[in-house]
Amino acid sequence: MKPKMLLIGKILTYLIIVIWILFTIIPLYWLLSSTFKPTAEAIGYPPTLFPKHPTLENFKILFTATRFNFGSYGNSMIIGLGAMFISLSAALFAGYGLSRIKFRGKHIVMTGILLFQMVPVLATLIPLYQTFSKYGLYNTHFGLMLIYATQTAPMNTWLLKGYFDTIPYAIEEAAQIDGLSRIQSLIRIALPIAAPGLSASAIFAFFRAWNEYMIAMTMTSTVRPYTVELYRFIGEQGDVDWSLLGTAAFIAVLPVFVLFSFFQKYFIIGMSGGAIKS
Amino acid sequence: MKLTFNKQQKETVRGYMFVAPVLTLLLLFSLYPLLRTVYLSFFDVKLASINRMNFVGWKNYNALFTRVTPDFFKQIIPATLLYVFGSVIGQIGFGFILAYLIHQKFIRGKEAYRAIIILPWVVSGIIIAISWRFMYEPRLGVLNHILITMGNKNPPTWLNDERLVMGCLIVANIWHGMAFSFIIQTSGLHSISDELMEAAMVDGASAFQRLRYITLPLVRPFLVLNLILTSMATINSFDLIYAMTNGGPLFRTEVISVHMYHRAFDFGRLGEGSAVASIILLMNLILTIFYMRINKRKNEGGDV
Repeated sequence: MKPKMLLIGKILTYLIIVIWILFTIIPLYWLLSSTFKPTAEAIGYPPTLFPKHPTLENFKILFTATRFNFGSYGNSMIIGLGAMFISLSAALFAGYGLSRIKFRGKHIVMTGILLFQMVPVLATLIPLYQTFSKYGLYNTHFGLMLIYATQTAPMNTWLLKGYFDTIPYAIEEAAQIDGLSRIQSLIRIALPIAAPGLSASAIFAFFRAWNEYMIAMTMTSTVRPYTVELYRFIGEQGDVDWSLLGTAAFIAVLPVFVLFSFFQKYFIIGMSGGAIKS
Repeated sequence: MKLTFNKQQKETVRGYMFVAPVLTLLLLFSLYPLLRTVYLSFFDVKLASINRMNFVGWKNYNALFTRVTPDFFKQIIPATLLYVFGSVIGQIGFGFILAYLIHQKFIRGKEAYRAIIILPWVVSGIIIAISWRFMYEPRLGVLNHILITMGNKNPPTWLNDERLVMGCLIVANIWHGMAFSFIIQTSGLHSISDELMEAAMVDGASAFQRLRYITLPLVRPFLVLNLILTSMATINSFDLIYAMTNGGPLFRTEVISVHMYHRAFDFGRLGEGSAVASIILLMNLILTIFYMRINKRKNEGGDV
């Protein structure tokens, strides 16, 4: 191929990538940058790429002059951590058992768990609502923790089983001869080695819960996570104040972006639902 | 009589004790509600009196299929199919193209591009919805500000325009979900050995020939897997449409998931909602069967 053609090809490739990158950044940037713009500027004409008069006023207004409930971030945090804890503990035992113990029906159990990963939440929502209302789990942190943990437990079981499979069993066998029970050997020996695998699962379990909206909206009235609070906040104002909305969204995505920049790989493993393993 | 187990039986009991917590969660909060959805679809249950249930047979399905606003076959199904096709083709198409371009040897800073492309995917759907509502906002939004600057006197109203609204949603959804396809296709491209490509280059294959005769056939299994998983995810997606248009205007974006929610929780007819949910379940089941068949072939050592 002629060198000139090659150069044009390269330039075109870069051009397409850069256009998509811009397309990716603009919508979020626009909303989040309005956090630092006075309302008039955020919605004014012409639109400004960078805040002309950078301000932190919006945080103050959101905090003092609106009915936006800051406790909703706390609710999301509690629910996310709880869901993470339940999902990890359950998946840890199951993953270990499936990796280390040979038992009858193991293959069926493993396939079953994989199948559960494909259950559409939509198709479980109505009975869950009915059951939760009946047994006092409606509008509780614990109720949402259970649902979210159930969603991530299958995937985490497979992830952790995979990690345990890569750890040689010989170390544990030696310890078991020295009198450690299976559970002791799991907690004292296998767990520390599997820690990297655990962080991918933890991030996955937390962010599924942190970002979820539909179940949260259905299952809560006052114990609202921030996703529900944000949606309610749009409806409450007759005319949407975009810079306040941007501010509320900014607070919610900040921890996500920070964690993502450090643990990008774990996000990818977890959120691709096991379709990608490396 | 004392129960005695031999060693193998002991191991089996132990094995089930380890998987018991996960199985309990799955049975209580996944399998049971799933089956109960189908069961409830044959009952008249109201949101207001949640424990009073009357068996009504197929009445919920009848009501669903015969209602005129919105019409199930003329509005909901076409809207769902359009949304799914548009999103799936866009996500896989752009996902593959970008994965392919960034995979090229001469590209510098691959990791940085990948990180940015994946970014929208880690943000909550509700925030994505708000971002795009801000973009599309007719009077204050960026899009129309730009159009006006470019001299357009009558910019469209985007989400309020019944002809444009579905396109707007599909663009937003492609933007949000493309990362998943991008990741799958990237790993597909990584699975192709470098030697193969180099051999083809030595033999004088052009870039297009390499794409057509080496890359595409080899990533085909990844494309198929992607197709099934993304179709399922889109059929079951809810947040973006609910928060951007809530099914409107004029039911133009009333996809099946949103319709289920409306029947069950806005109109308070849990039985009817369950009937819609059962149909969604059926769609998922069909796709799951495809998925399992492909997965089985992969585990048996075939080409995915």
